[in-house]
Amino acid sequence: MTSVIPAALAGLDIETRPAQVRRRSRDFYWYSPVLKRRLEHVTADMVVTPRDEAEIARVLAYAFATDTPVTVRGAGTGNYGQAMPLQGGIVLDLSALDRIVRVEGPVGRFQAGAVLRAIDRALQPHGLELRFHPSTHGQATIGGFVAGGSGGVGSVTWGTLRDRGAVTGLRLMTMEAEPRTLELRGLDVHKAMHCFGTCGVITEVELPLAPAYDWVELIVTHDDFMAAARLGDVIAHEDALTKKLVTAIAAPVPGHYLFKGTVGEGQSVLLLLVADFAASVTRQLIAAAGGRIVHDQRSAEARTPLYEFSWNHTTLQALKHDRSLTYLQVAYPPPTHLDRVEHMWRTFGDEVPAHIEFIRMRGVTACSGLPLVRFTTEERLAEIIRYHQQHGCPIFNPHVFTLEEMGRKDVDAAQLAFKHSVDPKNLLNPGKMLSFDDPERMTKAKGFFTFSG
Amino acid sequence: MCAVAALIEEMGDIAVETQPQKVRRRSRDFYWYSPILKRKLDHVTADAIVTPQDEAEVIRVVAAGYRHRVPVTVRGGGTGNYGQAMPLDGGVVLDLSELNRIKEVGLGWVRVEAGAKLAEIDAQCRSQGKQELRVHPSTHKTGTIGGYIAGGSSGVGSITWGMLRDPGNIIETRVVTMEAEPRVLTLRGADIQKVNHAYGTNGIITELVVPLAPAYRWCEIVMAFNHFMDATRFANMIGRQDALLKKLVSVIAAPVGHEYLRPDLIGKTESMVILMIAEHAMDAFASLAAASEGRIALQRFADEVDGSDIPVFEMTWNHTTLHALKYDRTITYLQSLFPPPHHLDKVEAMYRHFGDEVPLHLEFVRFDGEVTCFGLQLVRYTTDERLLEIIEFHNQSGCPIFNPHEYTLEGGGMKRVDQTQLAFKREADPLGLLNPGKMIGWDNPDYDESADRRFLYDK
Repeated sequence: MTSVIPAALAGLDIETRPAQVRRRSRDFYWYSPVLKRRLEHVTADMVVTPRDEAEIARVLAYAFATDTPVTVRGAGTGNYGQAMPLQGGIVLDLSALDRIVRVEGPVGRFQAGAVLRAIDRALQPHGLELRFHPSTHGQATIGGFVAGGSGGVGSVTWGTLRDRGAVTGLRLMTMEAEPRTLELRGLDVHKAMHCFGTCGVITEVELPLAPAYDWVELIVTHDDFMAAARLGDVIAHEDALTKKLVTAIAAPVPGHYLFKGTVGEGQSVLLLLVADFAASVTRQLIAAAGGRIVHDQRSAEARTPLYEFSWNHTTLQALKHDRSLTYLQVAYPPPTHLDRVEHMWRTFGDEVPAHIEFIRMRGVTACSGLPLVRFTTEERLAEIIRYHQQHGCPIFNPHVFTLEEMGRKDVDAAQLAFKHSVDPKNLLNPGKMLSFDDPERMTKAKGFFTFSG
Repeated sequence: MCAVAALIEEMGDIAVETQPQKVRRRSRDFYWYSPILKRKLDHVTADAIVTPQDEAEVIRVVAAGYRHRVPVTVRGGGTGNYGQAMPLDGGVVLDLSELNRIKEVGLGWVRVEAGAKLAEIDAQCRSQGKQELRVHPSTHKTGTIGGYIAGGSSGVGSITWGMLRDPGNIIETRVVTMEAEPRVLTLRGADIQKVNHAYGTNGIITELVVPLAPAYRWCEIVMAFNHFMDATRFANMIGRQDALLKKLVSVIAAPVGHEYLRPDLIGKTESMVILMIAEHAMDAFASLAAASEGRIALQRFADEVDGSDIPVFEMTWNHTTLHALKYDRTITYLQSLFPPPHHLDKVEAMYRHFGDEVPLHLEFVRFDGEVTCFGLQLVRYTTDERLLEIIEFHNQSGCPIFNPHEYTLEGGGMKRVDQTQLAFKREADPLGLLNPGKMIGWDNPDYDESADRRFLYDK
């Protein structure tokens, strides 16, 4: 494919300047030194920014006719090259499809390219907000989140995108000679979620919303990381305490990279977002556990929202200070999650500074980890990953770019059948779904997969 | 009686009832669910009912009570089941039903007087910003918020919000002490536990701030299952769905559904699951229900229920017992906890052991951050000895019983002597005049029914 605009796409917003195209062909894959090396060269041939579904249909029909790969992009805030076009072709930037379709009772329907923060602002007059969002709330789109994310700020109450009922409807376009528009509802939505855009082009997302309370941000320090983690566990378990974020981060990360001046070098922190009417009882729980509150402020008044130091923003803030850092994504299965957290923390010490996010997982409070890793070699990184896996802590590997290798999802027969029906030529984000692209390698690698969706 | 007469003398324009039949009627609750309490408490009556209009009048009543050494027992809707509001030593019953103002509805909370009816609070909060109480008992229509907090523990909504004692489920309480000069105290945070579930033995709650939940349009569902354990496993699975908004997940073993609740919907051998699910979670719920062994026998919106029928929650919690009692006065019930994570195994063991002598009724709740179930199992009562045997078997099997056949705080198995509540009673009721006879610890501070049992109110 050349950079000449084909007649079939005339009139569309198309970018072909190589530097611009290259910039819009990438995400935050460089958090991983491994992906950085592997994906550095990746670029599309052009970026098309459709204004509506009719224009998307034109792009898909053209791509189908010419066997051109199409990789859908929201804001490009993924961390594993989710929206990076491994085989070139077209990047389909959905950021212009950014309308609030409707808000009906506690349910909202949004075009895929709507930015999460813009959605929450638009919901304010309704007294509603998204149940949970990634730390990239200010940039990420709802479509990108559903296609490439899993949980975030709010998951301590609402679980993750995988949970039944987290998304109530998806509108989807197929990659066919004549693209169809499908509406998935109920449990069917999972056919197209967390597929990195390999299972159709999501154009609208419908999901239940939460009440928008006045949130209070708290930073609590502890001399001992495990004391912070245990207090986080207590608070996360309190069913009556309306909360949105419970994050524990081990020293010296908070003092060095996150809250210089506010938090001392030897101190670990617990970050909390609780509703204003739950704040005073939360402060009591903190005091009873020996925590010290060093920051206590209404979210609405915060210059930088506290959640921009949590989830994968922790990694980002640290990377700003030290480019040799990377991270992992770990599950610590309950009910012994804290024992496992402690074991890993003691085993690796400052080589893998602990960072845990409390979440609801199938009705139980658990935590997932996004520990930093002071990267030396790929061999050592693999060793650290293996050690976690061998000690009952599954890793969702953020240093690979296929769905299956991440351990994030078993692509089952139903999923494959759906993929065949919506993208028979395998042109949507090719190279990301191993079981479709390379079934043989998939079988060989079986033992590696740790997580079933 | 002359002490009471002296008190009445001083009441002035405060409403006082002394007509014996009326006094007797307003001195009782649903204690008769228990054949044991029926026998023990049948004679209980106050000397007078006093009905203050506001907190200032409450203060006048307790000050007079203190001066004349008259016991004062606070009453809300009288919907308790263990004689919580029954005046064991006579004296006056302080009926708070006129303190029923809803003072302020905020975003996520409401400030109310203690005597406000739960249904009225909900009606008001729904119209002002689509909010509602997080939890309420099945006696939603007649129960008061003060009575619920002084005498209840959980209910419809606990599958999402846990127990009343969980930090955050009560934000503030205003309490009047029974002293020469009564004080008005404001308790917040952990201090609330001093008066929460204390049956009004250590202060009179006059006002509360409680959190609110969003008021969704609730869908009422009744499902029928051929096998009780299939019903239980389904209910447990629904209970654990974090993204699926739910307010009620109840399981009732055959033949209770057919015999006492809805013979038109449920066959004799079918067990029931009763649910309340938010409208916008129904697509996901329908997919899960379709994959289950059950059939949907009834599905409607709560706002479609007219006067000819009752909301489904009035078949659950302690209303299940009430319906059964209407058919068969020999039936009574138990209250138990099936501790997680092996709660389903324990349910099955009890189900198999007792069969139809103890038809199971489960209410799924969040308890200490986990999903589990309480049992409000029916008991086909024969003798006190057999009832105690059944209780003992549950306790021995790791299913602690919160005995609803006892009228004291401690005997209910809710807790041993709660030293915090006892200490607060010494401060707020130095003469021991508030609801006397309900707190064993007042007379015997070292009372401990059993040191190694799991108590509902332990944290």
